[in-house]
Amino acid sequence: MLSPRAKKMLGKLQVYLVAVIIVIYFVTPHIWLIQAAFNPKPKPYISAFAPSLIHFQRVMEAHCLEYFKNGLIMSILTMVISVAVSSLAGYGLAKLDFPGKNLLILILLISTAVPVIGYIVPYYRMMIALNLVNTYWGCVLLFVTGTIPANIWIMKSFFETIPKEIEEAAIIDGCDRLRLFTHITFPLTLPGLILTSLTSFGTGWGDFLAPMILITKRELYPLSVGMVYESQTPHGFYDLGLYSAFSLIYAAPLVILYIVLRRYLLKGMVAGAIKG
Amino acid sequence: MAKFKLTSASRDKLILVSFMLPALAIFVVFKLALIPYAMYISGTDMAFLGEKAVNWSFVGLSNYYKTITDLKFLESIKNSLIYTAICAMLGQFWLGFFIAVLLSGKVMKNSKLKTILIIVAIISWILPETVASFEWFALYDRRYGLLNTVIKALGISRVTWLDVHHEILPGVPYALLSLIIANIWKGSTFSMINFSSAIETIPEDLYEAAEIDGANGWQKLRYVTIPMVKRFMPYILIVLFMGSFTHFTFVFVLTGGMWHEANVAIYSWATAFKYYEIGYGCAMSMIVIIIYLITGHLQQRLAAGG
Repeated sequence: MLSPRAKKMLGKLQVYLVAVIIVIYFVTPHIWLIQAAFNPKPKPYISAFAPSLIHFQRVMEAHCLEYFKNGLIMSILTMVISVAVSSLAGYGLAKLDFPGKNLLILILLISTAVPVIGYIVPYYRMMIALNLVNTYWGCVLLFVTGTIPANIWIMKSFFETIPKEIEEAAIIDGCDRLRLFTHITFPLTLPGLILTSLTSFGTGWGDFLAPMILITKRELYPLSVGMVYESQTPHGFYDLGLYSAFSLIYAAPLVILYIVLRRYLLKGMVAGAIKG
Repeated sequence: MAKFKLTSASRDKLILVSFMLPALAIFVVFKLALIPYAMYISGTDMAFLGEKAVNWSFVGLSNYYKTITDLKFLESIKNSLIYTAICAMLGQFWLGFFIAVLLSGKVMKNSKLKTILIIVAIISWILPETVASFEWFALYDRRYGLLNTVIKALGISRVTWLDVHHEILPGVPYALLSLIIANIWKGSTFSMINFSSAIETIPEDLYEAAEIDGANGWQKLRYVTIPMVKRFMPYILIVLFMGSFTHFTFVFVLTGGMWHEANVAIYSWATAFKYYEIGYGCAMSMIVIIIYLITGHLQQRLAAGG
């Protein structure tokens, strides 16, 4: 018979063991990717570990900087436009009551559910008509449209948390709506702005489907598409070393941003997911 | 004085309305209006290239009839459903729940392991799909992948993990199972986060009462935790369904874009952009749109009720 204390220890150990197994499950693919990126041969390291930067050299020869730049421009444009128009709209929706407001919000939120694959064909025809195929704007407009509803929703709930008294006091002091917005409300919603900027940037940076369809000129590929095409070999295989090195460069900015700003991210996700 | 007040109030309203216009205009023009446009195209035999790009005609509902007789489309629907059911609604849902329960336990309180687990789970979630997908491709690779390296060391012959022609279970090709395992890794975090915050709302004294009644860990889970988080389950399930049913990038990259019947999204992309049949492609899009409008509606109702 085990003493109660030993039993407790054993239970604790079991929980730790399961947690460690889950951590290993989550981490193994990253470790494998990193070893592949620094491993000059496609074979896994078993005997000797001799890291080399050869794949990163090859990445640079495979137009990495060009793709990086394209992706960065698209993501920043997406972020700036989406956050600007969504925070304005979120403010309007938070402060103004009008008939059909709830219906409008409901339509916005429900139609968000429709995935890009559902309307990419008419979108593509529209971009041909507007001469926006093979430009940054074709993708940026799609990303902006995709991020607007969630961003409006997040910004609206941030604006609603600002006490009415502050605004009323400012209005009594002779401050009009425009000044109120720029001087008082806007600075108070900084956490919301950080969250929406981050998710919009992430959408622009991470998307693959839209640029794959809307951009056919190699010089305009963002990193997401460029790295897949550069590493692809015939019959659906990939050059493991090249793709791994590309992946590290591609994922780094996003992972760093998310880790640094994860406080805002979690708060916003939970607020959006469960109310009550 | 009275007149000045009126004008300032209406000026105020005007500013607020003009705040809303740009976002709404972009959303209506570049998304909402495209849904009826997709419906319009789905009633034609339009193509991207060739004669039908110019001289197309209305064909009524025949594109929709074609979907139910097209074996490849039906196969893609079947694969989508299997993928969604096993990967999202079983795998991601319960793994996320399991991790959330693990994290909520007394043992894990204030432990470093808890923080590490949360961070690694979130990293796999926020990692761009092209990277996450490739990480699994590198594990599955027939010659150099980790899985086959381990298997070979154990003296078992190599497995073609991404084989689409051979079935590991009736109706489930190897590639589909591999996709499911990989995406459970990628997508469990959503349910983990939601269950975690749901479990946090459970009052501590319920567990204490259960302990006094002599409940063991399993019974506490069965009679306290699950009933208390039950009301969040439909919402989580529907969001997971929506994430998986038309999962494009992850599946596309992992299969090298070569398996067009992998799911509905990839098949409709291939129809429109590989075979240029956009009339037929739009009919599939409309099916997807209708499914997502229904699930999106359900999601909003559940979110409002929860």
